[in-house]
Amino acid sequence: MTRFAKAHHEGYCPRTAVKSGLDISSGTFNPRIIKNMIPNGTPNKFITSSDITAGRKFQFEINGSNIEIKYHTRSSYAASNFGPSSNSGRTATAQIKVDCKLLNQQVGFQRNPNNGTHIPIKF
Amino acid sequence: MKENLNCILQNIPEGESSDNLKNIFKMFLDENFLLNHNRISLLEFLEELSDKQWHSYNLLDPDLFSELEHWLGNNYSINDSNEVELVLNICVRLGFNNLYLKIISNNEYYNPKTKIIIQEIIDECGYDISDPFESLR
Repeated sequence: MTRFAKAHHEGYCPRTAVKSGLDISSGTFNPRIIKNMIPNGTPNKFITSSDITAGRKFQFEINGSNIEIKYHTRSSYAASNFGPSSNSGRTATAQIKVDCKLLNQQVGFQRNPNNGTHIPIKF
Repeated sequence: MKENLNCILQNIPEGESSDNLKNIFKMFLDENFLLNHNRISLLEFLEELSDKQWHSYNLLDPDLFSELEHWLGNNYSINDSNEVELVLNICVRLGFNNLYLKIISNNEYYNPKTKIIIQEIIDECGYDISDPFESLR
């Protein structure tokens, strides 16, 4: 069974699925691992700016859960305001949202953004 | 009208500057804008907009801070757990500490579902959310 087929299988848990992209030991996220969760034809809604020059944003629904997978290059605003202590200012990051809650580096979900919900990308 | 609000949000770039976001917050506080949308749509819009503000890595413009916190404090129902959750999420993203403390300290008036949400947000954010960027420092 492909991951996409699994995604539509009864009992499939989107939260567990997105966690599979997280490497707990390094606190990094690999978007390629969860790429197959994204239904075919889902548009990339990412709009770049002078601050963030490249990225991807996919919004879709699985088993009644709203999912947003977003990853992008480093933020120059975060870099200039917070320096290397900020994940977003230091490197490219992913933000994964399931039903209004964000995945964090500690493998939990939370309502509000902070440094830990901006998970450094490692392919 | 909700489609219009979604359209505005969908067209804001990732990493939009706080200067440009300031204009959208000003538009939000315009009487005509407020009168043309229902409260839940406005709160949902404001939550998304406050998330954009957080991701600009700058504090909300001081000129807008008090006006927006005042509007927010007068435009939710303590009987609606969804509205209370939206307002608290907005407070955390924008650093509205006074309103945040006011809401979480009135805990005895809320229904059981709202109490659970408030406790989860306290566990996540604590009792001082005046600096939205504390975790980045």
